[in-house]
Amino acid sequence: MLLKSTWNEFIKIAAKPRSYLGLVAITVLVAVILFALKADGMSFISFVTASFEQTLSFEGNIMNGNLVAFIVLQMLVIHIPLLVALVTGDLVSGEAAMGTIRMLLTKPISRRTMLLSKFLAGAVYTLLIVIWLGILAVIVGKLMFGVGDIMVLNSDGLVIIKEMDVNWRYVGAFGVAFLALLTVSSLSIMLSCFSENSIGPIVTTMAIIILFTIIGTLDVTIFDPIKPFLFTTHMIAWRSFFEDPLPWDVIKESSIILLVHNVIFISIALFQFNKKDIKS
Amino acid sequence: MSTHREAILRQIGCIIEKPDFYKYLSAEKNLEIFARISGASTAKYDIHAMLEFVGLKGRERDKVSGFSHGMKQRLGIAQTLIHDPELIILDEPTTGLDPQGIIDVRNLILQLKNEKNKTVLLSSHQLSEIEIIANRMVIINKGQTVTEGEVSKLLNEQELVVRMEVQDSGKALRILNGWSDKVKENKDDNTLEFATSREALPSIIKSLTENDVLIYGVESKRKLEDYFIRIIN
Repeated sequence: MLLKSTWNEFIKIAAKPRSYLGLVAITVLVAVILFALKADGMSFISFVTASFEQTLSFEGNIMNGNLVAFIVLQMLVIHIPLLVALVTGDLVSGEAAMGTIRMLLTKPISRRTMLLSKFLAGAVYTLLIVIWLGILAVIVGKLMFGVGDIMVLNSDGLVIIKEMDVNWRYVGAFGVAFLALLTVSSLSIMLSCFSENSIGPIVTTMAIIILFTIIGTLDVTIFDPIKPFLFTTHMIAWRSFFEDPLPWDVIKESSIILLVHNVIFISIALFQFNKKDIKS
Repeated sequence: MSTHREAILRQIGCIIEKPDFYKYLSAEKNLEIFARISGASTAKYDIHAMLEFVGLKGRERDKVSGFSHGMKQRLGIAQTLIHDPELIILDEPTTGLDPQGIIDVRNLILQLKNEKNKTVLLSSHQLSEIEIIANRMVIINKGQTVTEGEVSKLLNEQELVVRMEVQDSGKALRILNGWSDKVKENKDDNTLEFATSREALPSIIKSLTENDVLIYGVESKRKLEDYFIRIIN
C-alpha cells in the first residue's frame, strides 16, 4: 500500500506545473553560471589565486569542468531549498485546502501510510532535483570546460585534488547535499501538516532556514552551544568531500545530525497528521 | 472501527458532504488514484467503464477543473463504486445541483440500488428525494432517533391531504364538515382541501356523489415533509 500511495503522490507531483519550476530554475541558473564562467572565468579564478601567485605557479586547464561543478554546487545549494519547499510544502496543506485529503481517508489507507508516502514522494522529487543539478553541473560542465585537477580554497588553505580523484568525491558530495535537501523536504512536509494553505509552510520553511543560517554565521558566543545542532550548519557538509585528507568524522557527524533531524520532523508530522481534523 | 478500520473501509464507499477532486488531473487520473489506494483495478478499461456508468463517457481525459458540480457529484459516485463496496454512504448528494443534476444523481442512486444491488445510506435534508429514493428511513433530530422504518409504511400512518374540485363548493363544504374538521374552501375555483385517512376517502367521495355534488377532480398527496414536521413537533 505504501508503494501504491507513493506512486499516487508522484502522479500528483508530476501533474503540477510548479514541480517543473525547480527543474527549469536550476537549468536557467546553471546556464547563467556556465555562460558567465565561460565568458570571464579566468578573472574569477585569479581572484582566488592572486594571493598564491608569488609562491606558486599555476599551469594547465585550471578553469575545468570539475572546478565549474564545484562553483555551481557552492552557489546553488543554498538556493535550492526554496525550490524543494515549493513542492513539498504543499503536499499535505494543499490537499487539506482542496478537501481531497478527506476523500482519500475514506479509503482503506491509514493516515501513517499516507503521510509516509508523501515523505517518500518528496524524497524522490528532491533526489531528481539533485540528480538534475549533478547532470548540469558535472556532466555539462565537463563537456563545456574539459577536465582537470580541482583547486579548492578552504579555511586551511588551498587544496588541490587530482582529476582521477574527483568523481567519487562528487558522488559523496551530492549524496550529502541530497541528505541536506531531504531535511528541508521533511521540514516543509512537517509544517504542511500544521497548515491549511500552501503558502504558509513554504514561507515558514524558508524563514527557518534563513534564521538558522544567520544564527550559524553570527559570531556571538551565546549561540555557540546550539550551532552544532542546527541542520543548516550541516547543509554545507558536502564541501568536506573536497578536503584533503577527507574528514570522515565531520561527514559522519553531519550526516547523522541531518538524519536525526529527518526522523524528528517525520515523527512530529506523524503525530500532528494523526490528530489533524480533516472534517472541516 | 479503529482496529479493523481498513477492512471495514474496503466494504464502504462514501462521499462526505461534497466530492473534492484534484482539479489539475483528468477524471480518469482522479479515479485511478482512488482505485489504487482502494486495492481496485486501475486498468483503463475498468476506469472508463465506471465513468460510463455515471454518465461521464467522453469526458475521461478532461480536467476536473472544467467539471460542473453535477459532473463532480457523478464522479464522486464513481469514486465510491470503484472498489465495488457493499455499502455506499452519500452525504447530501443533491445539494447545490440544478434540477437536471438532481434528476441525474437521483437516477444514478436508484440504479445503484436496483441494478447493482448496493446498500445506499443517504443523509439528506431534501425530504422529497428521500421519499422517492429510500426504502427505509431514520429521522434524527438533535442527535436523537425520532423514528425509523419503511418509508411507505411510515407515510401510510399519516393522513392524506386531499384537494378536490367540485361544481358547488359550498354544498360540498357542508357535507365534508361531517368528515373532517379542517376543510379549506376556495370559492374562486370551487376547490376544497382537507385532511383525512386513506381508508375514509372512498366513503367521502361516495357521500358527496350521493348528495349530488359533481366532482371534477380528486388529488391526494402524502408528503414526507408534512410527516417530518409532525414527527419533529
